[in-house]
Amino acid sequence: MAGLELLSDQGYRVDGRRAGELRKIQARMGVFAQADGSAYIEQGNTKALAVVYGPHEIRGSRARALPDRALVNCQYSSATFSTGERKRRPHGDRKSCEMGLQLRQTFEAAILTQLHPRSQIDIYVQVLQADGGTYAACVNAATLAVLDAGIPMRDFVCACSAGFVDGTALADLSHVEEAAGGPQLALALLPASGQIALLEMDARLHEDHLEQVLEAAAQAAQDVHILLDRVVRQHVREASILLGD
Amino acid sequence: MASVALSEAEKVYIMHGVQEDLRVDGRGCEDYRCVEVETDVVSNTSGSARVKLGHTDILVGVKAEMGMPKLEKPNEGYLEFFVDCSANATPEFEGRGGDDLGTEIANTLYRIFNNKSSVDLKTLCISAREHCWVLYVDVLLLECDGNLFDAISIAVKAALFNTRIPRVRVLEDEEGSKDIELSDDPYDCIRLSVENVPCIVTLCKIGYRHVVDATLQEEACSLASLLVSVTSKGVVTCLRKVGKGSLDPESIFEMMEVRPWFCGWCGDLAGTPAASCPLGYTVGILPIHILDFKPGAWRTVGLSQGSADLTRRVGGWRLWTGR
Repeated sequence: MAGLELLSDQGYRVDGRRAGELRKIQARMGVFAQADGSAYIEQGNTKALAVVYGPHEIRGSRARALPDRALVNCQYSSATFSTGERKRRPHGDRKSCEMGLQLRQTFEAAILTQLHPRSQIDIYVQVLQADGGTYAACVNAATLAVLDAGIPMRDFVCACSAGFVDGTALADLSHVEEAAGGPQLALALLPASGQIALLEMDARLHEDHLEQVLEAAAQAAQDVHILLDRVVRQHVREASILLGD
Repeated sequence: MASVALSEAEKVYIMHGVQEDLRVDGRGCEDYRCVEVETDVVSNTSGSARVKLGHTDILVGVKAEMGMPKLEKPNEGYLEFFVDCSANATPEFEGRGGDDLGTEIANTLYRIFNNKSSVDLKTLCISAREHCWVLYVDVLLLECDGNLFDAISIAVKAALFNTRIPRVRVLEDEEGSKDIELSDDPYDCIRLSVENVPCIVTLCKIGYRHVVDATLQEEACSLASLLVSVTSKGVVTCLRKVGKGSLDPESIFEMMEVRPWFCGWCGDLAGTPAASCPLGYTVGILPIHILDFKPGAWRTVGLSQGSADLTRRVGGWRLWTGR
């Protein structure tokens, strides 16, 4: 981390935030007409789109159908122009496959899949601009899209990343902070129950500090929940006005 | 291509309507849907644009990277096209499902730019035979509701219009080794002239007539369509027949008659706002009015009836996020 001070003596980060502060989140549901559910989110400069199709009949091989619950199918792709250096392929590389798998695990934990046996739910996320915390942005966008599609869920899934610099846990890392190479934790939380849907940590971190970082991430995810909840309520209000109730 | 399932009765309904010059959404055969163009939407690209044509939604990002000029053209840069048919548009595109369509569109883009006049590639040269700018034009399909080619060509033109390439200088020292210096001023940029960048107009043959800007439903009724790429001056840079059916030569000439008619107008009307356009909301004004806007500004141009308020900031990402 030579040359770049991630946390100043006054407790400010590179982009002027406090340690536990989130970047500005703006989101909108129902951005596409053709999909069953869709959402767009901006977390700072990270922009992601999520689209949900389903629940519908299993596409392709029937053998994949699950007799007792719905199959959740996720694809993560990131636009070739989303990163600083141009990517060669939008999806199908190792990172995208892994992200797809993680999203699937996260949403299998949250969606009440047993209500739709032998059917399939497709969740497609697309990163339009990547500036750190892409996993979190994707999960948050996908939650809104699933809600927009009217698929029953146990709870919201809210995700946030956290890092650790100079004895302080930082919430919602930006690209600069991620690139510095410190420990990074991605957390997806079911906020009402406080259950963890996905937890992943890279690099090394002393066990004693884990609790602090985890707490910072969980707090940030709770904050994200407040914002997403507001977006959903606003959307429902607008939709009900349009319906004339 | 993304498709919809239509029953025989629905097809007959659409085809009979087209015969009477009345389409399902109330347009005539030569009317476009409302087009929304927004530039500068992705900040880490050199240029970007988003175009909405009905429910068709396209995002284009242009990235300028340094590369080596091609051997046969040592003092020119070049453009690379890539089209990503993302699963967002339709679940059929999941995995490698959209690759065929993506390659087809990318190859069409290569073809319409394969001439000297479209873009002045010499401005992209940094030093002959050694360095040049390569413009990676990446198209992302977000939603698909027919007439992809026209929407993509408009989006590409708008993104190229928005592209800012940093100005560089080549310094040569005594030993002959060259050094590239980037300008200190971030606003010191090269901008491309998009005056001669063509737009595609797809003419879809339905029954005995042809329509422009077909929706997904109308595309399902059509067996073949003719794709014409024209510049604002009326120069044709590419002509292609697409679709599984066949066209007789006469109907091709008949369809082409649409083109010179409006392109003549386009050339004359360059720069005038669409609102004051004497032809109102006719098909032909489409390419020029959207894209000859003032540098730095963008505006939404509606060509269908009832969208007279053209310069208001409606639609687009700004609306999505409520900014």
